[in-house]
Amino acid sequence: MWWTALRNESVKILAKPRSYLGFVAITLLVAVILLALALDGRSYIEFVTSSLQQSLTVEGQMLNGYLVGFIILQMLVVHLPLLVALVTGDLVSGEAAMGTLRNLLTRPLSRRGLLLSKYGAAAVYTLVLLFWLGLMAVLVSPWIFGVGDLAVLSNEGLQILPASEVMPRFFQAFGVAFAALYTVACLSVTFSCFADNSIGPIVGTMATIMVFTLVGTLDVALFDHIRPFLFTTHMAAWRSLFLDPIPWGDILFSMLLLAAHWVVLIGVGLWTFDRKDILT
Amino acid sequence: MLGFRLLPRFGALLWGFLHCIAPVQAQRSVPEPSGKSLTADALVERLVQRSSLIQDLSAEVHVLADVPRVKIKPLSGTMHYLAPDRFHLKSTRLALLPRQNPMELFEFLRQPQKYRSMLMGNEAVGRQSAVLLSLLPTGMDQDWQLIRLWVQPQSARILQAEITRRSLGTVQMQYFYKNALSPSPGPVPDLPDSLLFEMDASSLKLPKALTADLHRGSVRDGLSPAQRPLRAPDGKARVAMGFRWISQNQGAAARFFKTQKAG
Repeated sequence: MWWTALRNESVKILAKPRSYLGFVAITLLVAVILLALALDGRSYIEFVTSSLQQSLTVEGQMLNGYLVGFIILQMLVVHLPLLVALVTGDLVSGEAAMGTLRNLLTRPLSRRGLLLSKYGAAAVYTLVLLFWLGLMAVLVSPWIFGVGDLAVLSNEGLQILPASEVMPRFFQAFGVAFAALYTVACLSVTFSCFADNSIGPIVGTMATIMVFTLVGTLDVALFDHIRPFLFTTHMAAWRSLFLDPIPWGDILFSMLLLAAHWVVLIGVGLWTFDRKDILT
Repeated sequence: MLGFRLLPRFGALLWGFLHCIAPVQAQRSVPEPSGKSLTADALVERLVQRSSLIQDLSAEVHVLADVPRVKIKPLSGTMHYLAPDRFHLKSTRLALLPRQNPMELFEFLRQPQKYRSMLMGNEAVGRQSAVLLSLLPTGMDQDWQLIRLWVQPQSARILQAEITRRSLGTVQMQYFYKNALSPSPGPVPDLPDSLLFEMDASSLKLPKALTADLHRGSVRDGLSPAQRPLRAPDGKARVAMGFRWISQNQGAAARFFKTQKAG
């Protein structure tokens, strides 16, 4: 029964035109980034390595498909929460606005089962969106620019990873990025349980992300103890997979914290939806 | 009375004069262990002869770089050198190499009209005794300002070199030979088995706009990123190159560069 509900919810997402906005936006943005890097990527690399090139020279193709893929991920993962919230924020509130919740719950499926199927559909949508981004970043970019070692800039310096190590790290990074984005999806579905229109949950999700990011970025001692527990702090945990050695402890902490967010948000959503007035 | 007052100044002048004259005296000759004295010109001549043997080289090369704030794994590749100045490292990996090609010193030594030489005395390089030879440019338009060579007098092998340039600063090179005592006989060039470049990289900076990571704080480990430099804590960049010579003056590099040009 739950699986049927999940399939129905996924089909409903597919039927909405706004669901494709994310795919179109990703495709366009990736095309723009690829074009920009194809035309002017060399000067971008020179800007990054100008200090290094004063005493050393980099032999080999630094601007390759893996680097372009990494740049795409870095640029777009920031924007993906908006694209995710745009669709998942509508899952419950949209039904409430149209008055279809009552009809849905006439079926022999509990309120909890229905809401869990919506959380499941949100996961499927997030996964597909991320898969599309991955396809663009990790397959199209290497196809255009070729493959090679990946030079990654982090707070700790420049790390050059051998090409053979890059692809497994990308796959793992997508797993961690999914965990972060699904937290956003859970947040917007939970907000959606409180509202009867779509705008509120979408804007509320983005506002939460903005506030948490701001709190996480401000270098104020007051926030030092809060910062590690904000999900926005762990939104870019996927980047740590491109460090050497990989800080597995940090990544595990991020994953556990994000999973804890899922549990709490889904719990709040279920509790709210159980008590939601669907008759008026 | 006046003479007594001027005495310390005179003493200082004398001290300075003696220190100035000492290298001039040293440049004329340095006693060799064999008892004969070695002149700068004779040593340069031997270096020119040895350098002119290096024309066409191919080698498998293993590169290890230790650069502040940069982390790169060791890599292997194939190196081609064709005199006078063509150098290429073929590798599937990204490699950090010194800006000058590793054979540049040999190219330079082949042109004795471009420098003046002075012997500066004996110095030990590791366990080996060496003579210190300083080279100064004859023209004002050259980028390099001073080259110091530590040369093994018996074999005329360069054990260590230091090149100071206006553009790149000072780069130190150490040459290591598998057969530490006797050079290879005959017309085959006597080449080092490994080379170590060392240069100052304390001013190395990476663009902050790109390195700043908004999401990952440093709260959990209590260290700010700046406190966690990636190796090379003395601010020196080091690049070590190990060679396994494939061909020496057999045209392999010439063939390689011909195909590169054709490609």
